[in-house]
Amino acid sequence: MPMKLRLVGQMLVTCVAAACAEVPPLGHVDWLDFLQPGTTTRAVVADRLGTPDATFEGGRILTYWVAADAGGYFKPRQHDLRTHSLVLVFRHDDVLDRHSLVKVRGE
Amino acid sequence: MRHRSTHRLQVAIGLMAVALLPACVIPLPIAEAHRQGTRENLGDAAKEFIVAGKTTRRDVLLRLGQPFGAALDESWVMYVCVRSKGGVLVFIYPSPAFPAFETVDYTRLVIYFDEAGVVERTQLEQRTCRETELIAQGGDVKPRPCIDVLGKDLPLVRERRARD
Repeated sequence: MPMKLRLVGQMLVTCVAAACAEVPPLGHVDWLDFLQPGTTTRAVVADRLGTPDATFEGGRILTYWVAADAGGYFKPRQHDLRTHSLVLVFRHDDVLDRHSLVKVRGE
Repeated sequence: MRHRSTHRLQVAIGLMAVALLPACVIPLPIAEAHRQGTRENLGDAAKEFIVAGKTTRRDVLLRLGQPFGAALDESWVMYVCVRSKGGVLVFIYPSPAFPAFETVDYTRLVIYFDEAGVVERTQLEQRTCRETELIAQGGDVKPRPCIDVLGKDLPLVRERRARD
């Protein structure tokens, strides 16, 4: 009986520890640092960020949904994680002209 | 003898519980929350920077981000904020459907552009609606929102003016 109790106790401690363990942040503070107007090309953006969520003006403007947590920014896999909209405007030579990161959730 | 009376009491309690079951109504509060996919920071301030005849589509996107909807020819873009101010869900046992009563704030900002991509005009609509939704096993019966957040009332492409 004491052996069984000890086992149950250990299991409880393990469960509580697992539940209380902090989930590591998904974001990286420097995830978007590669975006440099006048330097970054469309190919680099496609390679790093993948397919855009929307395009405008014949592909000159691309938008991506971005999520943020304690670690920084990351690409959200779920709609409810979207906190920012990244807007990228390219020049005619496919080099980044301007960009902005717009907060869409949170006052 | 004692065992028999206990059994009778259990049966009586069981019968009372069954008799009360049709009247089992539990109100559950619905918390305040933004509807998924709509933005949280949209209001009068969002359109203050827009100057008709000057601000471009590019400026709008850079300032407000990805719109909730857009015309096929990008002649308008639409930003939407839908916030539930809370309400109550009435749980009825053993009913297969439960009504939910909610107060919802709707904000829709539509920005129209000319053929050069410059803002022609803006349209900001704000309404508060009381909605009743029926949550059922076969599928929810949702009310028609008092502002069309899907933009089905807007033209898919720029409306061509009749030529002389």
